[in-house]
Amino acid sequence: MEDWEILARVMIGSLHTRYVAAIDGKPPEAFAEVFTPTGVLASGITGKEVSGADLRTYIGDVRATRHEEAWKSIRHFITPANISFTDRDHADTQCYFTAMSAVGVDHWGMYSDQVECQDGEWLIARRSISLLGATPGGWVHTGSVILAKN
Amino acid sequence: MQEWEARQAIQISKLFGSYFAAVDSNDAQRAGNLFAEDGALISEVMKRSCYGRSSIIAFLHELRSGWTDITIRISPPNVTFENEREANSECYFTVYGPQGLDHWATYHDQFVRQGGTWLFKERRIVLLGASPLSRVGAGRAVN
Repeated sequence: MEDWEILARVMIGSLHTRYVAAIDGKPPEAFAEVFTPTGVLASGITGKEVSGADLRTYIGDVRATRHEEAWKSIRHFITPANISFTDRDHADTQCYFTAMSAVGVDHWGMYSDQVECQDGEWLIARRSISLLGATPGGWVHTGSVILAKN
Repeated sequence: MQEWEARQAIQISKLFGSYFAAVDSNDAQRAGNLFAEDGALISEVMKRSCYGRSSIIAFLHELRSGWTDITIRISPPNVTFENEREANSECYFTVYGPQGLDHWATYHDQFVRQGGTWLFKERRIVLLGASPLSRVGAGRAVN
């Protein structure tokens, strides 16, 4: 493995943890900062595809659906990513996540990403979120998470 | 993340790996040596605060010699650098015992680089949740 690829893998890993920090507690505006200016989020959990300025309000909308107290502290535990480079500035990644509420596992799924290096910074060009399972009675299983369709 | 930060993040990943290998094999001395001499381990989970390497080693020995059947799994840490000698991170972790998921929490870490080696300056553990059968939930983790 060449030196550039080692560094890129570390930076992409850091991008993934910045995404988690943004959705788990940072101000909603921080969420848009991990995407490219034309970046897209397609969530199979909320049923929404958002991009551009809508990314700045998306997380606030998602958090507003957490009606139960146990859902308000949901945290996303991720696995290390499988990273495949198209070239030095583009890669495809996949990683699993487990969303934990205050009472246990709420749901679990996969992030499938297209990431790009722009001006030395790796950002998400497209993130697709797939739901793999959900605990009965939880935030996702009850359908509380579904946002209005586009 | 700049290139120098990426290179140092690899070293901090190594620190994480060394810590869990030591803790999960109940080697308190080796785990404690990964802290700075004046380092701190503050466990809100166990309601204990340890200041100084010797205090940390004593606590880890007390904790894990009586609780040997658990293992820790971490989520990749979110590492940010203050400068080339100081960094911070947050990292989620889950603890599994013989009956499955025991508890889940966050490590809030401060690191310091001394003599070319990254060490824990402070590790603070904040509980996020616990299963009903967990010792953590019952407050019996340390006796």
